Amino acid sequence: MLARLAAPLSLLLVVVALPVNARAETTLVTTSDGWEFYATGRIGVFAEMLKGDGVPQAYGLVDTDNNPSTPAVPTPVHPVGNGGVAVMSDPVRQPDGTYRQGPVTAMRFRSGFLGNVFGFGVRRKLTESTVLTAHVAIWATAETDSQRTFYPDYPDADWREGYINIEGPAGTLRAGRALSLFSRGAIEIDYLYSHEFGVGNPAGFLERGPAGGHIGYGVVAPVFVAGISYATPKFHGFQLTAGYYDPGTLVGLYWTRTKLGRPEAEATYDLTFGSSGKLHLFANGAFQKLYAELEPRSTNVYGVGGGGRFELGMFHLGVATHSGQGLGIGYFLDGSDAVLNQFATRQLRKFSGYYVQGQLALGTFDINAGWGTTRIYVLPEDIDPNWCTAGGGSQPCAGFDTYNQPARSYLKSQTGYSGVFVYHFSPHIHFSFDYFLSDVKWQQGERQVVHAVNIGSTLIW
Amino acid sequence: MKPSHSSYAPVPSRLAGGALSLLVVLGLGGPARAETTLAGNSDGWEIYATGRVGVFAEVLKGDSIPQAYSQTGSAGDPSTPPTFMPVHPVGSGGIVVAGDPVLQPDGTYRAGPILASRVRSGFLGNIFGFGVRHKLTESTVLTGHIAIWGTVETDSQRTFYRNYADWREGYINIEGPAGTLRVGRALSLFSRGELEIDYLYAHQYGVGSPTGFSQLGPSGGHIGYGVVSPVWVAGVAYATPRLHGFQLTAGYYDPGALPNYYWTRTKFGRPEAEATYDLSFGASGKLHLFANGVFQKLYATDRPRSANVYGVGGGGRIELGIFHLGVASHSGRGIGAGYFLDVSDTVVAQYTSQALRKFTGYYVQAQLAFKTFDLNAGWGMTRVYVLPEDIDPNWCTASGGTAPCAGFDAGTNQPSHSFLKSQTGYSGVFVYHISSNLHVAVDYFLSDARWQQGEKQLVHAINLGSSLTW
Repeated sequence: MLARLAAPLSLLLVVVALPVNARAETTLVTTSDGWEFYATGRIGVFAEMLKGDGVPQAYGLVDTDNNPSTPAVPTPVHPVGNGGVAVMSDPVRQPDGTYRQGPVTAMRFRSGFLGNVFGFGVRRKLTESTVLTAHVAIWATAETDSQRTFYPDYPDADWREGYINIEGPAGTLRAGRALSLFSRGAIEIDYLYSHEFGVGNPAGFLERGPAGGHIGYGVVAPVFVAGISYATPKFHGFQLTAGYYDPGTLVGLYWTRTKLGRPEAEATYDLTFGSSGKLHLFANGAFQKLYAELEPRSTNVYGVGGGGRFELGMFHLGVATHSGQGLGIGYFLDGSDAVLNQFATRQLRKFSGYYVQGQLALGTFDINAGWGTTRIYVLPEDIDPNWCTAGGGSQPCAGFDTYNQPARSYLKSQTGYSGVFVYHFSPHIHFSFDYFLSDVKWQQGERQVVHAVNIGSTLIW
Repeated sequence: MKPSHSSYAPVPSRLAGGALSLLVVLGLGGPARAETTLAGNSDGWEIYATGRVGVFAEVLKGDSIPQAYSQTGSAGDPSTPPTFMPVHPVGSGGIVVAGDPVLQPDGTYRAGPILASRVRSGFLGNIFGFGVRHKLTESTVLTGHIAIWGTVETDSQRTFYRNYADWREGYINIEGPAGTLRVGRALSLFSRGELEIDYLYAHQYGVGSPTGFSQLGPSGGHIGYGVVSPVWVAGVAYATPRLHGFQLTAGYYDPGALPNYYWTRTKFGRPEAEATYDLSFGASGKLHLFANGVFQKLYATDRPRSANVYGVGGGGRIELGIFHLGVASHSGRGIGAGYFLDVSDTVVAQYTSQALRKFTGYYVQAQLAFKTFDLNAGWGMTRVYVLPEDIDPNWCTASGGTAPCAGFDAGTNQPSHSFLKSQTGYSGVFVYHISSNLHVAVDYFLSDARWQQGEKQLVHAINLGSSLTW
């Protein structure tokens, strides 16, 4: 890899990888008994401009008297489910007196794909080849929650990492809060070849970030979670990492109970060839059993992912895919009505994602372009008014209105197109210009297109 | 990592690390920390860091909160799930974990057995401590210290959620021959001695009661089970110099109230104090006695009523070679089961007179501290005392009226809620000290919670995990 890329890659290791001896970090002090204290981190801010459509939503209340002292209270008609870019638009009054979502124009100053990060750790050699490390990292965003001008900082500070790591010839054992394994390879592509110094999709625009890169648009993100993982030593390029993590649930969405934790694993293969060639292949998976709280029911959440990265000189290409049930759009087990049939059977939906990312790494600047799509598959009870009676009953099934139409429209797909130009002013200061097109569709034909343009800078240490 | 200052009183060598890091957490004395100096400048300012990271795998097995539900389940039609309403609800307390729902013969569900696990923080979360220090004179040290706490587990098992950082400590400390003055956010004084026993002789590297299992920790040690915890709070505290082993520490703290539980208003702050006596004897003998107290006046907002929250505590620790024993007790009104002024219907007669209930706690903790490992065993009980209005359906009319008093069922004259009666905990911890910085623990805790109308919950918690301190 080009020398200029060494720093970003090693910083990636702080964020996503299991081995800890290759960090972008600064040693603060080394004590007489061999303990080394180090710090790492970053600060970044971006000006973001959105233009496009509001979430497609009609409102039913008519403002009958046109009296501004008694404004209409809009009520959603045929609501769409979660998904898309949640941002307020100009309401447009239609001929029948109802309102529909109009065009979006909005801007914020905000954090990019990674927030502000302060990392701190201690490390000591247990033997000549075995290193014990404790690492903590606190993340935050530059923007406040929901555009409040004054708000306590505590919800913004996120104690995202805190783990103990032992790395030696027998492999690497990690215990604590760190990134999970399912879909780690896909997020590495997003980070390395696109949004390390960028923004991507405007996730959290109305509330707070960080932003999303291609997460939710072809990439389902792993999560920072408490757990124990072990990575084997590399053997002819092969490595297997397996972890057991704190169980996750769908809070407030019926499947709110667990018994045991979540196993995840990733197998990787790395090959270096020629003077600048590199190949990284990966396959990963996760499984979580969920239970209902007030009925004796259970269901399984599972996912598999795979893909690879290929580097040849300045040309870098990454391809990834994932598939599974109940996974969520953005990150593993994110809670939304896209994940389960909330108003009928509570069944979990299936998801798949496809992601392609290219990068031209030209010394002092990068040009990155990507495409990704996340798809959600309908259940029979989403679209078949007779699903509950098999032969058709006299009453509409749950989830359908009296006209036998689905009462709600759930997310169908999220497709993203991204372009990022990064100028590396120095190994520590990076400027970027970032574009993201979000194209979101719901099952009953609703659609939202939003363009996001960002300009900003990042300082890392 | 070696402490940069060595003014701490001698203790058995293996315990030095633990006791020193206890001071980071609990003590008023500023300069005796388990910490590492990061840098110093020519003006004499020194920058230091301290902290810990830990994680435990926890498995719970036992009973759910004893709670029946009245709505009939619509078995076979998942599209119209039942809406469950609690019958004769129990109040706060016990271990809140969802169990398997069990269908009863009459079609109602009751909370069934628990089997649940998490990967979580122990008695202390992850801590990043940072400070600056400067000698004002040869014997007077000025310190500014901050500590940010966090847990490894997320709130309510969400896979992606901010683990907000808890800015738990932030104070200025001046320590010299005239004593120690501390201003800022630090641990309060009431029940400090009890918590020290729990920390030193049991859960410094362990877990204890699975507090916060369904949300987020850290866990509880014996807190709520014989120990009522002091709190991290803004205030001003002064500790006298030690005189023949005696020391008095007094503080005035930011007032606490019971948000959403009637007594939501205060006028003045909260005085707290602790008196201690320390004696070292023989080659390895040590005695530490303590007595402490607290007072907080609360006010209602809807009418001119006030109530007093007060508590007293006392006990001691004795160390004789490898054998360590701690005994503590506390008593008071309105103080809470877990920590001082914790907010729940255990504290307030919420459905009747809004009067504050009385609490007591008893705690015994033993430790065998071998060179490379500890064996720790403890028992503790927190009791909540009923008010007349909790059990007497005629409390509001003295001689009995025609209508039931508030808080009682109209038809049966039975209390409509069952409040917490006691929480008893039995703990055992084995800690193996791989080094002075790295510790592995196996931890067991049995929670026995009871409510006033006979409900009972037993939960066994088993933990395995490690902690690294610096």
